[in-house]
Amino acid sequence: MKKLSAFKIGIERSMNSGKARIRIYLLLLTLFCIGFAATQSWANAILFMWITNNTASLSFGSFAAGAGGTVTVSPAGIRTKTGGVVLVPSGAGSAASFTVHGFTFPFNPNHTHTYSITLPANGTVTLTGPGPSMAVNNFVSNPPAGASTGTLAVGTVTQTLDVGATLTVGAGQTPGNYSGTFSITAVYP
Amino acid sequence: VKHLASRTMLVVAVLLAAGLTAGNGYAATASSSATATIIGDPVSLSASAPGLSVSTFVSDSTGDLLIRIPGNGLCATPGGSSDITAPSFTAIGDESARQTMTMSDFISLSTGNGTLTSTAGRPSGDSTAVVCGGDGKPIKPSPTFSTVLVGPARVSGPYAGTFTVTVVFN
Repeated sequence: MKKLSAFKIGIERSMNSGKARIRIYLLLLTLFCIGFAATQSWANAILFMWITNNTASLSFGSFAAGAGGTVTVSPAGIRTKTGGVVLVPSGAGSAASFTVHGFTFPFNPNHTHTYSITLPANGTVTLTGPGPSMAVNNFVSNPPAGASTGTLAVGTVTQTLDVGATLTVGAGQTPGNYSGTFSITAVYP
Repeated sequence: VKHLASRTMLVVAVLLAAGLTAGNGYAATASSSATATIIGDPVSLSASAPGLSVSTFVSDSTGDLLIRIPGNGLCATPGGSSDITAPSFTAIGDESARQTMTMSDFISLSTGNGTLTSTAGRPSGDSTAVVCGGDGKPIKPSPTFSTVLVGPARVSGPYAGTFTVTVVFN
């Protein structure tokens, strides 16, 4: 307790002096730098990262199941089908679109930050509805999934991430609305 | 002054922690919904014509309406007459495409061996509405589905209804 009191008194006295106050601030800054430099380089850092899904959800649109097949929506939103599925043009569907945000530090206009993108694995996403569930596989994105495929250019600190996938439709799949959810992850570094 | 000292110590701790946190990897996750709408399959249709039956009735990806005619196809000899009865279709499963098609929407019928053509607005019963194969010979039955292209691209969505084609052989 005596040591702690002495420390507090020292702080009090120090803060009463202008020069000492500057030293204190410099000490605080140094502590931050030590903590930061202990794990990361200065020139390549993102303090915070978050993702918003602000434009479109993944939609396979409207179609008739027929003899069954697949419906694929590309990251560009182009819909194709295989098998006996009959696509209805007026329900064209859309790719999911996310926006990846990064708050970068320190501000370095000559540096871009890369991050990794993880999409759902096959067998993990299904759409449920009035009939048997339908599997959603082969997720693809632009920029593509993988290590350091995403880029946050300093100055914009956002990047659009479009996601498509393939839906497997059973023969005579029960008509109705089907829905499900999926998640993506952006990892820095 | 004590408060100042306490706050200073707190700031030291926060900054040190922030510095350590900033250097660590950071992950962000977001979710999206995924949806699909399945409409009823096109229903089987009936047709009245010798050797002709219309089995399914669907739309293609461009919005044109296709009628798929199985194997027997449609055969007419040169000089024969035809009567294409005005079809009446009603859209199902897609309100935006709901409309009733008329004879004027009947554009062409491709059997794989030739094309039967009806120009827009041609009245039912016009014998020139049916043309045999390019070589003037009867259009032979096709082993595969034939396609009738009905309507411009404005027509979309599966349809159900009745469709009648009558071919009179001389």
